[in-house]
Amino acid sequence: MKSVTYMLDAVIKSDTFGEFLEVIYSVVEESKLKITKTGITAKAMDAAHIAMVDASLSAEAFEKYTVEECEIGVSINKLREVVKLARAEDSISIAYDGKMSSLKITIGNLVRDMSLINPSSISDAKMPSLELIGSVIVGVNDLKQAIRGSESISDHISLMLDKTGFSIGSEGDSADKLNMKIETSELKALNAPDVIKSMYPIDYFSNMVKCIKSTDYVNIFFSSNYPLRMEFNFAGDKGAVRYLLAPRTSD
Amino acid sequence: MFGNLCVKCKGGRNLCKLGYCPLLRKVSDMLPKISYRSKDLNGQAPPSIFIGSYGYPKVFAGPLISPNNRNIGNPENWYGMKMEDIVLKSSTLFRPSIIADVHRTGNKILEATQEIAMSIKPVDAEAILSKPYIYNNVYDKVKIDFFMHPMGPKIEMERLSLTENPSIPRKVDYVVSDTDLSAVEGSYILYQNDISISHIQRLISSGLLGVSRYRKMVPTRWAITASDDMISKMIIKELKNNSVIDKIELFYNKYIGNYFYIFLIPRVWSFEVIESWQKGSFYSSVTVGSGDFEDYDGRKDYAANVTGGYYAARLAVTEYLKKINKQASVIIYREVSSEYSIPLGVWLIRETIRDAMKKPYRVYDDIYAAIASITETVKAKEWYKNSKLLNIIKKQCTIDSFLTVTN
Repeated sequence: MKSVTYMLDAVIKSDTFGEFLEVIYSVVEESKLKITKTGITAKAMDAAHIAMVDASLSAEAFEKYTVEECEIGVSINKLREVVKLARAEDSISIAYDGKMSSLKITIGNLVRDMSLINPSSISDAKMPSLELIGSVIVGVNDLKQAIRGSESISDHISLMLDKTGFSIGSEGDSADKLNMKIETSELKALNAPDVIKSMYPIDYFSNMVKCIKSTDYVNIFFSSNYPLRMEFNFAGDKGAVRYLLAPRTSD
Repeated sequence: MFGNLCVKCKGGRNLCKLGYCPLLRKVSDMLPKISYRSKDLNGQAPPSIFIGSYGYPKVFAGPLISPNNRNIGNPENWYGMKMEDIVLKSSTLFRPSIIADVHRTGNKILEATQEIAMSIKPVDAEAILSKPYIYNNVYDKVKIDFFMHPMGPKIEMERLSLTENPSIPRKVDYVVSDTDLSAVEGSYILYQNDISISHIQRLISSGLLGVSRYRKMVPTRWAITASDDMISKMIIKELKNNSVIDKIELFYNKYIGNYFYIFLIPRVWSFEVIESWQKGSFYSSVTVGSGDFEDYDGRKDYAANVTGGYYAARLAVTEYLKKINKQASVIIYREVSSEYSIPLGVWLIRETIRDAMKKPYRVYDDIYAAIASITETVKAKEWYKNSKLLNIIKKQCTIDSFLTVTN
């Protein structure tokens, strides 16, 4: 049999790869994946230019990882549906031969060829480097709870940070409102040189937070009326995520 | 009558719990009283059919037949006509009907009805009625429906036969015969082959589209919304690959007391319709504004405030964006004056906006300048205050505005 040389020949636990895909999918349906010796990265911005994601999975996250540098365009939605066919502890193998415009995913006895998208049809995303003066390390469960409670109240939430703590709130048209205040003593870290207040669209924020699975804390950076940056690692620090979310102004 | 409730319900959802629409009943008193003194109804189907929703899944079903053998045509051809002429023309369309289960179309009357639905040209037909139709009391009269155009009285029939061969376009025959094709795919193929919306809608309604085991008759008013919804959704999918328009474009059109202001905004696809029914217009005795909205990813529930007109308007606007190969955020403001005293169906919205998009438009740099330009003309000066889309456009920043240093 003729041996095939692959541009990408990798094996990874399905839950690790699944989480990586969910993170990207929380912002975009299609993305470029940049494949290098050190790992796979995705940088993408949503169509309305409100949110960005920069996610990477290092070579160490894989059980097997032989690559030549390349870039492919993927329907993240389609790929995550394929990966969902595997059980959490299953290893899946991902292969790309660089010739056919398809990705070969093997899950046990199942082989799935998935068509790719021409990467030049997906626009490039550039992460602006921003000076964000406030930062806080907050529990994922607290965030999820506050967002879940706010979704029926308003289409945006407000974050506030000062020396005493961090609070998340939302206010509706009527008397409906919600506030969650986490005191400084309950937080892992807090840096607030000033009182910082800003609002963000809840649908986007909710999508970003919902897909966090294997980590308990996230790092949030923001300034008043400036974008929010949320960072966390997953898969035992072998995966890293940076989100950027544009603010909503009060008027 | 019930103000806001009526605007929301539009005679179709029984929100007042009376079991009938007092407004529809009121105008139907203003309509011609028609009699037909023979059991033999010979005439022409425009071609059109009507499947009721009352009693679903057991509904009234049958074709519309004009006894005068006049070529009445389909709503697409009515645009531009006066309201009185439309009401007069369409109210001579009798509705010979039988009660049928929507799942069972295997009888001669319904088969003949389906053949009429497939035809692109008027079909001569003969219906044998249970009894002659003599105008009797205020309730058997011209039917007014918010989605469908006005129609003549319903009469039970015993037999229906076509007296000439229907003229069936090859594409229609092909899609109807393909019982593995979904209703969405089928509708879109027909649409791309220049089959009119009213034709696609009556194919859906008569249960001729879709995968065989799901085929059933669909009440006319649901089928009207379904065809507008399915086709515009397919177009929206294509639009999302287009670049965004350069400047704000404002289109305008008016027809029978319906004033449409269509704002296209340079931003990714999203869509909002805001309506205001002025004092004296059909559904409202006071100024009421209500709307429905969808962002880039579309909506998951029914546009319950604007109802069928939302989807008809969306189709007309997406057709324009497809033609110019662009995408945009769209806000449509519809103001309805007292001149629109009888609802004529959602085709009026679709065709008036289609026509608007062919007219010259004005260009603006700022959305509020565009809105200010119509303030003099509109009756509800604050119509845009509750706009969801404007609120997002105004308050939501984009990442681009923070792009100074990049890595």
